[in-house]
This record gives sequence, structure tokens and C-alpha cells, in this order.
Amino acid sequence: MKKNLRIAGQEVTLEALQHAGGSLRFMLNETQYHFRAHALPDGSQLLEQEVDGVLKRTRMHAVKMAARMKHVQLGEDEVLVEEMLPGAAAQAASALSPRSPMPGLVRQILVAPGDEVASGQPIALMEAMKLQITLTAGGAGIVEALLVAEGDMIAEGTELVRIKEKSA
Amino acid sequence: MSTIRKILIANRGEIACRIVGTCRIMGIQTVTVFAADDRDLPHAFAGDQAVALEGKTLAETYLNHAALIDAAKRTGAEAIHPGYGFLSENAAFAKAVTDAGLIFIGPPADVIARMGDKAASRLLCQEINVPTVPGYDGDSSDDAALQRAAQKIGYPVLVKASAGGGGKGMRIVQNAREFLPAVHAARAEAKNAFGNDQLLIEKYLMEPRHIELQVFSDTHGNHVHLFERECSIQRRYQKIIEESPSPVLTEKTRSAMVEAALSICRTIGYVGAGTVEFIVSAKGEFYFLEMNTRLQVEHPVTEMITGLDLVRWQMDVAMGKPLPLKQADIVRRGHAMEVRLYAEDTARDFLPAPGTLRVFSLPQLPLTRAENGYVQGSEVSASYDPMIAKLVAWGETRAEAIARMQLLLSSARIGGVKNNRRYLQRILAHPEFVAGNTTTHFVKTHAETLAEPSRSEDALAALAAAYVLATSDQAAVHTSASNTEYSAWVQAELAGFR
Repeated sequence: MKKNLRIAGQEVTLEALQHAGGSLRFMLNETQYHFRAHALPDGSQLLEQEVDGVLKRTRMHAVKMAARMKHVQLGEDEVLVEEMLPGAAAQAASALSPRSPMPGLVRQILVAPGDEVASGQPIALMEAMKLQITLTAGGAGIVEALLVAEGDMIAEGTELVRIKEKSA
Repeated sequence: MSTIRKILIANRGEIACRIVGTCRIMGIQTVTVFAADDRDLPHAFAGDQAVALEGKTLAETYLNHAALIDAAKRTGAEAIHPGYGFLSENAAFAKAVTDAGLIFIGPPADVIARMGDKAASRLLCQEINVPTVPGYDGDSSDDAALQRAAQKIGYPVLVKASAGGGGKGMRIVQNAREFLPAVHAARAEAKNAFGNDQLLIEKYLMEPRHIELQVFSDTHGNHVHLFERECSIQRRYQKIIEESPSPVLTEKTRSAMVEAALSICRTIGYVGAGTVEFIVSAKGEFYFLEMNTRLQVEHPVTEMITGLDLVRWQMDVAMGKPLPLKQADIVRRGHAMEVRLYAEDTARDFLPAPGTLRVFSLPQLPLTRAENGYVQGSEVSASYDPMIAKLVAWGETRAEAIARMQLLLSSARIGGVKNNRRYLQRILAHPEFVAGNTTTHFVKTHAETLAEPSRSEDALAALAAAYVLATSDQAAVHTSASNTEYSAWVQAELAGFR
């Protein structure tokens, strides 16, 4: 069984060979790995890996952030791990429409529906934690719709203004 | 001399909690204030009493002079501690507090106003022979006038657009021969970018460091210093690592800086805790930048090397007592360092990353402090500062302080909010940082070696195994599935902020 994971932006494919109880064997590229989960008396967990008869034991902890998304801590490392469903290619967003790079407040929208915009033209101002940023158009086009209003608090990745290509 | 039995803390987060701590020890009652969206944060219940501030905007809540003074009156608080940021350097607020018959824990309003005016404070320094960064911002911006000015200041110089920002219209000029061509290019660029071709000139400092002096004054005319802090490691003009002693300051330069800082205090009749900030060149030339007329974020660094409680000193001064120690009795030992944990995306130019601290625990270790105003489950809101916590570590030597800080950082757990924990670890491990080669350009100069390394296949395998094998707690609150998508076309124009 294959599992596609995105680990802090890096994509890996595991080919699971055996997964039973707290034991997991898989192939990653050409290498076979074997890990075990070990529960400590306080309920916390260690990840164990045996290499040449020597154990590497590391504390691990995971918090479920969403379906198929966990915040994973492993020793000093911590990352967001996402599981990608087979065939679910990264959503192809319109390359023209600006999306919020961070959660925050929509301070100002600088365009109106029907406006013709140039590549790089400022479209909206956002603000979070004392920082103001300007979102710009990804390319030349026509403003189709405003998807947020000034004063809205929006999540990261929200499309603010839909811009469509100018039909030839 | 007046006794203070109860104070109101006009601030939020870690600093409000930290001030409560000292007041407890002194037997002083505390009132904290909170905006509606902060109602579940520790500072909203850290004190003996709490007052809710109505309204949504900062102007209605933490910056609302009338509401804060009214809250103090209603609760019978005799004094207001402004913390740092917010109203701490607001002369009008300090005056309003005093006019209301309350004690403002800080310098008198006129002193705040005087040092708050950057141009006036520069002039004051020049009058008492405290060096300021040599510069020229005259009416005439013609070639001849600029050239004369550059000659007088001494190369290298920085040519900047008066209306400037973002590096446009800016040139570093190494010698007289390169000067005019650079001026012409900068002028054209400035005209183009800002519609204004007025230029100014400043001395360009090679390998500058930000070094500040902690000073303290009482109402009896005593002025002392509590040594320096070096705060050169900054991103976007905001400090992220502070330490004392500075890894490079010579005793000669230090005493000259101390003398400069104290002469400013004496001249303006300073009262309370203050910080005189200097920029120091590789050659040990130092220039006054500004004076902060309040407690600094990084004051724990000074507390760790002196064993003193600066908030306690502030309270004593506010009560009209003389400073607890004379200069000769203020000694330091070892090395202390502070790092600021920020909710930000270090891979994307330190873009703010508000969110919910789904996982949050900071270690308690000997000879360290972990100061924060959040608990697990708290929201780090987009409406406020991105600082999650400050970690402070002490060591007999700088190397020991660094090692202890690494231990603190590696044991800290932060999940659900992008943060600079690992980035700070990479700075602390950087050979140039370890060698003390800390300049204000550090983050930019070493951007490549500080970038997050891609993980080895073995590391990815272990993380993947942890993803599959770890039993996970808690369900999601809010994270959109699309949030790892980031498109390079989003151009962040970063407005400088402090």
C-alpha cells in the first residue's frame, strides 16, 4: 500500500510492507525502514529505530490538525505532515488571483469588479501583527469578483479577489 | 515619599504577568486589564483584580487613556505601570495619569516627550558632545553641496532618498571618485520611485552593532548604569537575540559609552528605567541612536547578570526612594542571553503567522527564564505582537549561555503556529554567531546558511513513521487544507516596524 506524504513541503512516498500494532516497515525509495512505537508509563511515546543492533529512541508527539494533517514532533524536530490522497494533485489555483499568505485583517481592497489590472499591480492590503503587506496581481487580467470585504479577518490561503484572464 | 499599595498594569501578555510577579513579592496588589479577545489569556487573571476594556480596536482598549485611568480610579490603584510598547513612551498618557492624581511608573511626561522627538534628542546629544551618526539632510541637494557634505562626513557614506524606503535610491559610496555617479543614479531612482529627488547623506558604518546601555535614575539625582546589552541580531529592524556582555566591547569603549549615556540622563533629569541605544562600528566608534524611556523587552538579560529585579527598582523609584544600590555595588557575573520566540514564517521573510497554540510548553531549567503570556490552546492573535515568549539563559561563559539556550529551545514544544524556534537554534549554532561576529546585518549576510536545511531521507522516513505511529491528541480547530500553498507571486512589501 502506498502513502503519499508531504513533510514540511518535501514529498515522500512510502511503500508500506507491514503495519501491525506499533510496528511499521516500509520502503522509501530504495531503502527499507523499520520503526516501532513505544509507550512510556506517562502515556507519552518514543519512536524506536534499530540500526545494526543499536536503538535510536526519540520522543514523538502528534497533534491532529485536520483530516490527514498532523503536527508531528520528533525529538527537536517539528513539522506539519500532510497525507495526500492518490490522484489529488495540488489544487490548481488561478495564478492571477491573490491569496492571503498569512491569516490577518483585510485592510483595504484597491480594485473593483470589472477593473483591468496589470501584472504586479497592488490589489489589496493586509495586516497582521503590526505588519502590513501588499498583495499583487499574478498577471494581467480583469477583476471578476471581490471575495472578501475590508475589515474581514481571513485565514491563510484565502482568495481575496478573483482575477480572470482577459479573453482575447 | 509615597507608598504604593496597588497598581494597574496597562499592558498585556508576558510583561503584564512579569510585573505582577514582582508586585507579589513586594506585597503590592495588582490590577490587570484585558480586551475581549484576550479574556482567556493568563494576564487577564494574573493579578488580584481584572478590568475588561470595552471595544475592538487598540485605540479603544490598550491605548485608551481615559479607560485605563478610569479603571485605575475604580479599583483604587495608586499607580499605573505601562510595561513596554503601547503607552509606555506616550507623554500625553504619562501627563494624563499624573493629572488624574496617580503615579506614572516611568519618567516625567516632559522627559518622555523630549527623548521621543528623535531630531531634538539628536540635537541634545550634539550639545553635550555625545556622538550621533554624522549625516547631512540640508536644504540644498545639488552635487556640490552633497559632495562637500560627504567629504566632511568621511567615506564610506550612504546616499539615501529623503522620501525613501525599501532601499530604492540608496547607494553605498566607498570613496570620492565614485560619489557623483552614485548620486546621479540615486537621484534618478528616487525621482522615479518617490517623485522626489531630494537626497540625504549619512556615514556608512561597516559591520555595525546595536549595543545599548541600561540606565537607572531616581528622583534624588542619582544616575547609574547596569551595563550594556548587545542586540545586533535583528530581523526587519526588530531584535531577536540579545545578550550581555557584548562579545566585542572593549573596556575603553564601554566606559566611554557609559559616560555618554549617564551624561544624557544628568542633562535631561532622567527618572526611572531607561535604555540608551548606540550603533557601534567595527572600529569601536559609537553613535547615539535613541533613548527608550521605559523598561525594555530584553531587561531580563540585565537581571540575569546582575541578580537585580528591574521592576522592583522601578517601583522603588516611583515611590520616591533612592536607588537601592550605588554604582560601585552593582556588579555583574557571567553571561546572559535572551531569544524572542515569534509566531512567524522564517522561510517566507518572517511573515507573521498568527494561529492557535495547539501544543505549547516551555521547559523550566536551572539558570534560565521562560516568560510568556500564553498557555496551550491560546490564540496568538493577528491583532497583537507576534512574540510568543522570551527565553533567557545564563552561563559562566558565553559558550555556556549558548549551550543552555539550545537546551531550552530544544525542549520547548510549539505546535499549531509557525514559529522561529528552529531558526533561532540555527543562529545559535552558526559559527559566526559562536565566534561573536554579530552585526546588525547578520540575518541578511547569513541568509543562505540560516535557511532551513532540507531533511535527509532518513529524517523524512522517521517523521513519516511518527506520522503513522504516533497516537494523536485533539481535533482540528481551524487550519485550512490549502495553507501550505504559497505562491511566489505574492509580493510582500514589508513596512518597517519596531
